[in-house]
Amino acid sequence: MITDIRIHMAIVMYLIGCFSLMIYNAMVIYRKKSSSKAMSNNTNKWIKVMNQQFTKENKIRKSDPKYEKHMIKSLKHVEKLIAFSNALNYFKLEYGTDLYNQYIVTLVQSKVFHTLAVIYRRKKNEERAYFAYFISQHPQLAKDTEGICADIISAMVSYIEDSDIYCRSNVLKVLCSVGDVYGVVNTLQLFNDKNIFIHHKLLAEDLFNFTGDKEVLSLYLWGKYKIWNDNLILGVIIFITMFSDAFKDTFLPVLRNKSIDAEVRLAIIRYYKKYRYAPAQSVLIEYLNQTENYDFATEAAATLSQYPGQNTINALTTALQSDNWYVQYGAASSLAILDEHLDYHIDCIASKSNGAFQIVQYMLEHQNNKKDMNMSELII
Amino acid sequence: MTNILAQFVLFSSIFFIAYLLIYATFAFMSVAVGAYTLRNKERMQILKNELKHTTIPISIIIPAFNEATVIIKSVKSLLALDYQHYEIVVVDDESNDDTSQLLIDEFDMKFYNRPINCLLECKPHIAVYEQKIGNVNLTLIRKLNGGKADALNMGINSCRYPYFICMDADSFLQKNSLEKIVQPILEDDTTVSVGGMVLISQCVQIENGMAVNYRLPSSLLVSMQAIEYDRTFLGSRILFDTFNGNLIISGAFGLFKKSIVIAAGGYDSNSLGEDMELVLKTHVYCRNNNIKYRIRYASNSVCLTQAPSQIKDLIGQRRRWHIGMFQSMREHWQIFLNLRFGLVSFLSFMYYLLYELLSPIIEIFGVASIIIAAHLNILNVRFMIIFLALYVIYGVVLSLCIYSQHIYQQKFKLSTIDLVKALLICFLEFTFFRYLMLYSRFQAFVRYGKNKKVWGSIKRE
Repeated sequence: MITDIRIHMAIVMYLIGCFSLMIYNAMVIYRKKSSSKAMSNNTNKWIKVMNQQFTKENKIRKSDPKYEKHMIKSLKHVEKLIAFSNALNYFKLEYGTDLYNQYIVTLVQSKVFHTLAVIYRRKKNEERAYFAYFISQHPQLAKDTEGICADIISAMVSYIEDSDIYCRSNVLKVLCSVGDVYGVVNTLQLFNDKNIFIHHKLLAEDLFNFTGDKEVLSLYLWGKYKIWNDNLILGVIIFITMFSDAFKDTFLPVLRNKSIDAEVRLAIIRYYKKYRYAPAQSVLIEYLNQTENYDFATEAAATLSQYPGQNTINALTTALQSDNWYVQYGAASSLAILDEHLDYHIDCIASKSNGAFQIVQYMLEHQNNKKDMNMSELII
Repeated sequence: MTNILAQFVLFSSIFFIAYLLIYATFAFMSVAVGAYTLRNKERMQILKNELKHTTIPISIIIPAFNEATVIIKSVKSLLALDYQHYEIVVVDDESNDDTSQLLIDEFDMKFYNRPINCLLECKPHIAVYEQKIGNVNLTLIRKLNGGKADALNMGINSCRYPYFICMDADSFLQKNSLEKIVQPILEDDTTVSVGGMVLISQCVQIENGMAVNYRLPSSLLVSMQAIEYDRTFLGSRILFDTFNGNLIISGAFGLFKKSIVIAAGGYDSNSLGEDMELVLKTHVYCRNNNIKYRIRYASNSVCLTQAPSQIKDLIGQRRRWHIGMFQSMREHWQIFLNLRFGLVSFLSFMYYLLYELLSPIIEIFGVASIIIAAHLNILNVRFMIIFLALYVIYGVVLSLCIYSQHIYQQKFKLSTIDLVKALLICFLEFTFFRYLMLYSRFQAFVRYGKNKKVWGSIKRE
């Protein structure tokens, strides 16, 4: 009997838990519905407030301290900030960039966002991330008459400590959209010092959206190559590879240095594929011939397709005999590009029993198909 | 004798109450954690806490066997994905129908004597066709028949990029699925595989590559599977994800790091549950070699797949899955009660062992206990009925919770009719469907060994 009562109690407890979950769900759904209504109401209110900022001459009024106070009080709530952002986007679409820019100037003069940047420092991680995202969408807010506004930027950089990847990425977006070299360098320095992870591909893509002088930024970033961790440097090299041929000379000693991280050197080999640099040829051939790490040989084989000449053809022909299939593949693909007479002497360079023979044949088939395609395009 | 039987009934009653209470706790935890995680994710999305990156190169591998009815539609939908850098590799495992020919004709594919470096063991290829469509390289490999796992190994051998996705030929990805499934890799580069969420396509209305509406279809069988999928993909998978404990990444949609899969030995051609086997193998490989790793689940990366609409197909499918689970768990038995595997061993593996693999045996044992208790006149019928009724209500309420979570997480509309229908389906799923599953699982034990290396097929709609 006692056991029965205990079991009944346990079941009742479980059911209470279960129904409370149901109620929680219903509440979340209800809150979501009401919050989406509130969001659209708030957006409309902001649009109304923005409209009130117009003078009769269709210009923006100078900022009013009361209005500024109201903005700060309101926008420190992230939901209100989202509504404000929606209203701002609507404003830009409806009234055009000129009026939008005028409005932004009044906001900058009011220093509302300077204050908010500091307030959001104390907010939750995801709310800080949103504030950073908001500024990255309206980067003029982080600028003043003298250029980049140091207060906002330093507040943003301070968000990075004890933050997650989303906040970090959004902060980096702000710095890149503003075009602040020092901000970007300081942020990456912080990533390095605090051992904060950011995927190198993501870093490169964010850096590529830098709106200032990318050449200057890349010089500053590369200046840290002996200090920063390999992941950051990898991201920097990928970023540089996206746009600059100015590092041909700089990268070569790094490529020669066998103590540098393998991924970093592989990224540099890829750089030399995009930007041909004659002095790199001998180093690439050296990498092609080494057998300790076939990743280097494979990458070098593919890169050598951009370095025509008998030396390259000889090295690639030798590489066809490599023990590694991927090296053979890379060599064959490069030979197919470089050696115009490859189809005539394929038998001499690769024995039919060797896998390289099939690879070369496959590459030639591709070349021929491309030629046919080009021909048919010409005829059309 | 009567005394021994009475003792047995007493023991079994305690065992079953504990068994069900543990399951009830697990179900509650998975729904609660699922609800909390999904709510958080939605808030993150609203607050633009997202990583948008579309240049991590991905190979999509589609193993195909007699998929002529769906293959063109499937490849066309993949060609329309919102992602910059990917290739598609279709591996035709010697189909008897026009799967290959349809692809060759539709996409004007060219024959190549392409050599393939077989790092993973698989049956040899017969022919390779290639075509570049826009930015996407499409490859068709025809190979000798060897089963789904064998076809996947061929796909891995021939794909070019460091990450690959395996998916079924009858599955469709939402436009943003690749962008979402790479997010865990960007968050943490120790991530070696990511599972995506699988929805039943018969429930979904698609517009511009995105699911815009979700309704339970008229087929009761499909509807019950939809509720079951929701419970799995929005409940238990999320719960297991919190401690890196997922043991299954659905074969319909999963992303893997190629180098790890190759190092671990690839798919097991002899397994019917190649998806679970690979995940277990990954756990074992990484733990044994002290490799830091994460196996993640991305509930916002959506794949749509067709569910069987006929009982025969469903039973066949679940029988294969259950045999696959048995093979995989037997193969990687070292995980069982092994401290080195931590929660993967003591929670995930135990759950799958007790509540999935052995469930048919345990449930039959339960029925036998009831019969014996009734025979001995010691069955508390009132308690049994109340317990069963409450348990059903409990299960139905939890299923409804998950269903409603799903609807609102994906921003679909839920009408009153849908809600009533969902209530009915949840009830049927808990009372009828689970016994159908029990039957198919029991059959898996009985017919173990008969279905090796067979491609599963269902009637396409």
